[in-house]
Amino acid sequence: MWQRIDRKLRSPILTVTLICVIGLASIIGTVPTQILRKSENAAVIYELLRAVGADHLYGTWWYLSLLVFLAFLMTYCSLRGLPSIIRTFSFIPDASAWPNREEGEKHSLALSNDSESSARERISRILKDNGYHLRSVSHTGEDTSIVFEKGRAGVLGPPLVHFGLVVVFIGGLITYKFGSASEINIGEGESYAVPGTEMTTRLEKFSIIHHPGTREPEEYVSSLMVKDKSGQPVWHLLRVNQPLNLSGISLYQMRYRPEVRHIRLAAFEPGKRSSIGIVDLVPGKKAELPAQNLAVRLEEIIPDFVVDSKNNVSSRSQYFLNPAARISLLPSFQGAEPIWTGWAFKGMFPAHNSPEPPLLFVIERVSLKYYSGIKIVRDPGGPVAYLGFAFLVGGTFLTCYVFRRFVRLDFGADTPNECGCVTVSGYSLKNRPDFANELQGLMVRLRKGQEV
Amino acid sequence: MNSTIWLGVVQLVYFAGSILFFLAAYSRRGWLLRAAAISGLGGATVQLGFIVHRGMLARRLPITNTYETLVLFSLLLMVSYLVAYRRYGIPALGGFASLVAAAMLSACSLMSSEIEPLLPSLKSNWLLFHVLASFLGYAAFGLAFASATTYLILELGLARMLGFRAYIHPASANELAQTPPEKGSDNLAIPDFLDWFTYRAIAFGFPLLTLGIVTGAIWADACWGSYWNWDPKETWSFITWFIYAGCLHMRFAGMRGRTSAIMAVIGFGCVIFTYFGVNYWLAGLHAYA
Repeated sequence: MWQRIDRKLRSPILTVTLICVIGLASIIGTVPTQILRKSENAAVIYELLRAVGADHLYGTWWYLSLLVFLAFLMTYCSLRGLPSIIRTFSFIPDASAWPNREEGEKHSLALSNDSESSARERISRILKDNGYHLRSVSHTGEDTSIVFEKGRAGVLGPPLVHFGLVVVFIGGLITYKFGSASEINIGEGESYAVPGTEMTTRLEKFSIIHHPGTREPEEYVSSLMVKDKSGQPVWHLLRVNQPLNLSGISLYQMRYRPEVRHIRLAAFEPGKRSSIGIVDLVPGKKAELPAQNLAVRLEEIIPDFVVDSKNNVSSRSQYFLNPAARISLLPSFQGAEPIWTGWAFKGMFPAHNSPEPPLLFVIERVSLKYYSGIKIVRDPGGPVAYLGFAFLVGGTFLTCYVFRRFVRLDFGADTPNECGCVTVSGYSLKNRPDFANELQGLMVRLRKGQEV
Repeated sequence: MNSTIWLGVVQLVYFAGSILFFLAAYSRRGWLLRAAAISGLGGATVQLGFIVHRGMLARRLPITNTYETLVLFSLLLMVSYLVAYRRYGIPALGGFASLVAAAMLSACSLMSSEIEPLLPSLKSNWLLFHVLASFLGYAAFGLAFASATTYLILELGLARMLGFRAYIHPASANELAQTPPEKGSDNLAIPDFLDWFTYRAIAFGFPLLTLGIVTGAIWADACWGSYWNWDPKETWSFITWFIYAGCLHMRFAGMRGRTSAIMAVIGFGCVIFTYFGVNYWLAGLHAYA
């Protein structure tokens, strides 16, 4: 009974099936949910998938159960394979290292006319120069068999991969259970008490450095003042890709958002060049132009104004490169119904068709306040996951690039040429065509070695 | 002269190389094979020059958007094939590899070749390791796909239907693919050799894909505060990793031949979806890739 369960658990068929099921489930979690959500024709299928949790699949009990089962399977297989690995690395000569005496590719090597021991020494040196290590020497009657081995570390690969994946899962689980992540939008001059700590952080300034000659940001930086429980201020610069680690938590520069603090407009009478008044406007609020007994209201501000052939107004980018303000002129500060609504631009009058506006406005200054999007993360499982990553990468390279192979030298009476030959056999569990090439190259070197 | 014209030239060279490789595989003429290999090598050299030139113009690593990575992908695919060719021969694979590389360069012509400034999130030392490891892995999977496709064509008898009789008989196929016992195989017939080569290419690419995913996760941790976000790109790389892990386990389970070839084709489908499909159909954090 136990043996049957053991066989089933170690069956690669079960692993392949589980891998395929997890792969398919993961596909359901991305493609259908994102694509079907947009399609009206597939609403029924989308609702059906939603019912099984496909829209938040990676947190559903059944998906997590699949991952847990995979982790269990990998742990089981790794532990089950442990005795064989210990045997492989023990110093006791391993009889099973060469499962079948008849197996493997055989070559005959003629020895030079010196003693067997010096020939053996020469061959051993060539094999050692090629990365082979002496594994065992055995004597049967007059026969002597010497086994050399290469790539023994390769056997560590599969358990390391399995173990690494389990460790990554454990790291994720620790973070899921004990970690936290939140994102804040903190404005310039504002302070924020970091939850779970006695720290407060204040955004002193937010800066954007542009690529020379372009509008694209090369870097954005939050200048933070952090105060710990002692109240001692420490200044830090927070940049993208350079998190700030402060007593168990990490701060990440995520995004930013400019907000118009106020806009300064200069008012002109049509046809005249000198300003008749200055007005500071806050979005959604109105301000008075006392001399004219009028009020101005800021309706909307476009950072990078552009208008298409159908007169649709939009912003080319999020940067305040060509700001435009839509403003309404009201008959009085109490008045609600505008007498005129139009655009004001920076440094130029707008082109107007009829009717002529009562006043013209030009943007003199846009005052911005930057909000910095900062992610605050406590990730206790991070170091564990990183350890798992190291196992995973090391394990896959060992599994796929290092393969265990043997070369056996048979000296003795049953060799083809009784007095001057040694039989060289090669054996590899995997990657046989490459090993056949290697063995041929090795034979060339061994023959050359005998000629010297 | 606009440097993108050179890509057009390389595309033509690869396309011609593909025809030459297929003709060489069919006719077993040595000079055709040499001409095909030279065209591949020449094209790859020019492409490498293009990448270096673009990097010098941009003053950064030219591997930051779909256009640039597509150029890199096709170059690595060609270089991987040339390395495999030197070791194992197999002109038919060169036909497929050159064709796929030419198709990738054709796709490039549909995209903007303008040099964009680097986004702040891409300013990281992990960029080189993440992109290079991932695309080296993808290139190896591309070779596995070519090998698996050739295997399926042989196995399903499509070659015979198309009149490629030389492919059918293992003996002539062996000769055709230049995999005689003294080079590349232990007396395996061509379908067996292709089956093994598919596995070998996957085994070569798998650790690189793992390294690509892991370096990406470390980078994501530094940039977004979490090493795994279940972003579509990440999820699909996870799916791709699982598919290829399945391929390797199948070999271990003794499942070879048609099933493993189909799995390799599905795997490369996942690679292409992870690379292209996710960018165009699914919204996520990797919007620039």
